[in-house]
Amino acid sequence: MLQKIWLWALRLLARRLDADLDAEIKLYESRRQSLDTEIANHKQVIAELEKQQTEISAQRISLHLEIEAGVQLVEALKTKLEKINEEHKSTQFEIAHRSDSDVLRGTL
Amino acid sequence: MCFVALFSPPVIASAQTASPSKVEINVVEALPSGEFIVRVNGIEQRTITAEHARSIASDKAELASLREVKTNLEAQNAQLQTLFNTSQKDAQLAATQAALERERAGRFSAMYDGEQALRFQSERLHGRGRVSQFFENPFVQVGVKLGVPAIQTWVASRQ
Repeated sequence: MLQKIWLWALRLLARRLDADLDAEIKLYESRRQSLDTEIANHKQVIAELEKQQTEISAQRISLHLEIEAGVQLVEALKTKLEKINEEHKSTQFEIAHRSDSDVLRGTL
Repeated sequence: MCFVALFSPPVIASAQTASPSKVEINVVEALPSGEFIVRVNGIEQRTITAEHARSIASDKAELASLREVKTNLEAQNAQLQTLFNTSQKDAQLAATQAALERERAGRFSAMYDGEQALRFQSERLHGRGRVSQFFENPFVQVGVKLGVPAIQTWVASRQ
């Protein structure tokens, strides 16, 4: 008799444990599903972000090329300016050392 | 009045009478600078000294040079303004890129947090019910370890 009661109690416990485990598994599965959906959304957004990043990177590369070209142009203008100044100095030196006769007869 | 470079002033000053080629030159006024206003065939003109001519030549050369410099500096200014605008645009894009990177990192972090939480939950799957919690109690476990054999012995002795 006692053995039967003991077995009945053990079965009861087993059923309860089984029910607990089932509930936990169901909860886990629902969370897993929810998380999977969330992850899919995140991945979609991340893909969009990466696409934007790629576009921005391309734009920035283009801008850097423009900047490099601009810097080169400015350098060329600076060189030209130095040349103008040198020519000016040379002209002024030449004017200062002309003879009076040359100055008077030359074209103003 | 015309400004014309003629030959040196003393020559002009001495040529106040009409020359054989019928050019009539008269000194109208002697200027303090050593130059003269003369009338040549009835038209007033001005003589200039070599020093003055040199100064004019120098000023003209400087003017031409400054015009070139001005053009060059204007071009440089325009180019630098363009560079500034481009750099500003680049800076804005860099800021946008950084913001996007932060958002991306946040998304990855959220994904990681979700995965980690789920992992902890899966690790706790065993024995979260009240019955199993009761049996996880160390005192109960000791009781079970000792009690089960005792009960089995007692049951066996009864049979």
